[in-house]
Amino acid sequence: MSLVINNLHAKIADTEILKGVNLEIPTGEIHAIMGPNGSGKSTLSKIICGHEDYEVTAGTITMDGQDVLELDVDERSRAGLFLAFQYPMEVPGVSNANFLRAALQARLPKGEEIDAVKFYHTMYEKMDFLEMDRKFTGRAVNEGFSGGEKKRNEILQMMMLDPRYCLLDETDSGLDIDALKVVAKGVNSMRAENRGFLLITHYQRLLDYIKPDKVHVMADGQIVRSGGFELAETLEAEGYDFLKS
Amino acid sequence: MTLNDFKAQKLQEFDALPLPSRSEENWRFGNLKQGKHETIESFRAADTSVTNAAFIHSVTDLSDDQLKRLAPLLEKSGATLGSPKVTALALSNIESALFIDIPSNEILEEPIIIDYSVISASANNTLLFIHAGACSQFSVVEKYTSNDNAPSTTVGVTIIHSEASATVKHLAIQSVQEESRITFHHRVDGGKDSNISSCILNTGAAWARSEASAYLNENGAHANLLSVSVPNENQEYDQRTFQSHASPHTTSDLLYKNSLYDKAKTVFSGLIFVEEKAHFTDAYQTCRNLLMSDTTEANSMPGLEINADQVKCSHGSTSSTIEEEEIFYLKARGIDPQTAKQMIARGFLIEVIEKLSDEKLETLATEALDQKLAQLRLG
Ligand SMILES: Nc1ncnc2c1ncn2[C@@H]1O[C@H](COP(=O)(O)OP(=O)(O)OP(=O)(O)O)[C@@H](O)[C@H]1O
Ligand SMILES: [Mg+2]
Repeated sequence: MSLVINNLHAKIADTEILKGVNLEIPTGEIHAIMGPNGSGKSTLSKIICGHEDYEVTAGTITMDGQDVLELDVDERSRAGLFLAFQYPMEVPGVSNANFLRAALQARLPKGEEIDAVKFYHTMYEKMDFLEMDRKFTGRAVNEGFSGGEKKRNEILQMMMLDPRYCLLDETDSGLDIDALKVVAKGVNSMRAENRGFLLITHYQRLLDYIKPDKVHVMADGQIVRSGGFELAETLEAEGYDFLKS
Repeated sequence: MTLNDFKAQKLQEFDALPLPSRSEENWRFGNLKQGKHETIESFRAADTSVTNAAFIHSVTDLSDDQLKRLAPLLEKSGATLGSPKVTALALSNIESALFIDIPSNEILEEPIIIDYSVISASANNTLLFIHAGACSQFSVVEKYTSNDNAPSTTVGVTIIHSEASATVKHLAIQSVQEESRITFHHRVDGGKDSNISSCILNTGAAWARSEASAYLNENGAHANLLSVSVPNENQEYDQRTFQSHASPHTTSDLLYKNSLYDKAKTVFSGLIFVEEKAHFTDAYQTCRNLLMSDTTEANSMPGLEINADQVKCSHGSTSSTIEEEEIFYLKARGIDPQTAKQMIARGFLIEVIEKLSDEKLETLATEALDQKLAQLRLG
């Protein structure tokens, strides 16, 4: 069981951004992608979850054998993909609770209604775990949230939706040390044999809390190096210049 | 003036006033197909039932004291934003009017709810006068529905007058039969340091015209004028507003939101008017249109006239479609695109309802909104 990206090429407008990405994330593993600004990390994550602005010109993405590129954005999510966004959207007038509820409702067969009591119970449990104040349930999704609160909210959504493959795009950026620990706690609590993770990050700091099985380096739309945790340490020490050597 | 004198005066006004015409600013973009209006010779009161009726009276049963309190409201009851003729005729039916008379310091936990069932194939009036005693706090809901599935014409007049430091919340919910026509004339006069909110929610009728005016003639008075409209198919809503500041330190806040579907059309025309002596006025006016299809039409004519100093005023209107990125975010959580659009549109409108800051009123308004949203087919 794995999420497999094979020779993925993609462009936006007329600019090619992904130039043949190859990556396999088996369930039970946590992979990290690092790489310079503008190298295509967010692009890769958005294409995996189906953003319409990008055109895939070659290659495949499969999830446990299923062709992902064939599915619409919402279908991919229901099939078990989750992306914690680098810049989560604000949704005015839609409360966090209603938003989560609609997302869970979308996963039920037609005619079946969500059990409200159970839903709130689970949500509060996860919020407590993530040390989120309950007032966030009534607030509009991400509206007026601080940067760190938005990231924590993404993790809450991830925990509620129980996906098979989780992509986290710079969830650690902008977090204070306590928030970073909370986010790491969330991810670690979801670590499981039947679940895979892809963490996009600029900092080894995150990887100190969430030990990755593999580290990849992306540059100019390709995975140019892969290795273990030591690769992150080398990057931290030497910067991306070492890629040129 | 006795009620009979008032009646005679209104009939006379009706006869003397011309029909509205396109050359009048108030009817620019307005729909002049008056249909049944020209032929209306008399109004009848809509069927009315009241919940929480302790302080509501027929104007024909008032004490002398109450008549005294009613008098200034009658004086101010004429429409000034374009519909004086039909409003005069409706007001000539003054014996059918209701008077809510809330004593000073009275605080009502439960809203007063008035259900109007407008009667098809006839011209209906609803006339409501509200006097808020000093420091009173209460809310009033007016619900407009049709008695059966045939068209009707309705003129609804609601005049609110508050004494010092009163807090009044007023919500009108219009969901009459979809070939009907309805005209509202809402006016609030805020006493010193009073806080009055008036919200209209339109989902029904083929054509609805609403006039909402706030007169802030006493220091420290505050008014919220709110509106939520969800027109679809060929529905047309015409909205006229007036925020008048005549005393210092008065504030008003207007937020109108329209979510338009199919070939729906809205007109918003609002004016903030600040008199010379009304220094330190804060007045805001915002009309936002969400265009849910590319065949809708939203016209906005915001306006300002400021004659005082040290005034904070802003007005603005926007028309936009739902941002793709926003829909994407919801879809990325597994929500199908149709539901995503509905959730975003609902959220856009809910922001107005939340400004009522009253759980019971918000629930009633949200229910009416959800009922309409459930009926919409999305392209
Ligand atoms: N709409 C667009 N039009 C043109 N170029 C785009 C567009 N969106 C992204 N790009 C370009 O694609 C490249 C990759 O962007 P992407 O956001 O994937 O980088 P990233 O690796 O996530 O960078 P960062 O570390 O700064 O988050 C960048 O050069 C960016 O300018
Ligand atoms: Mg990025």
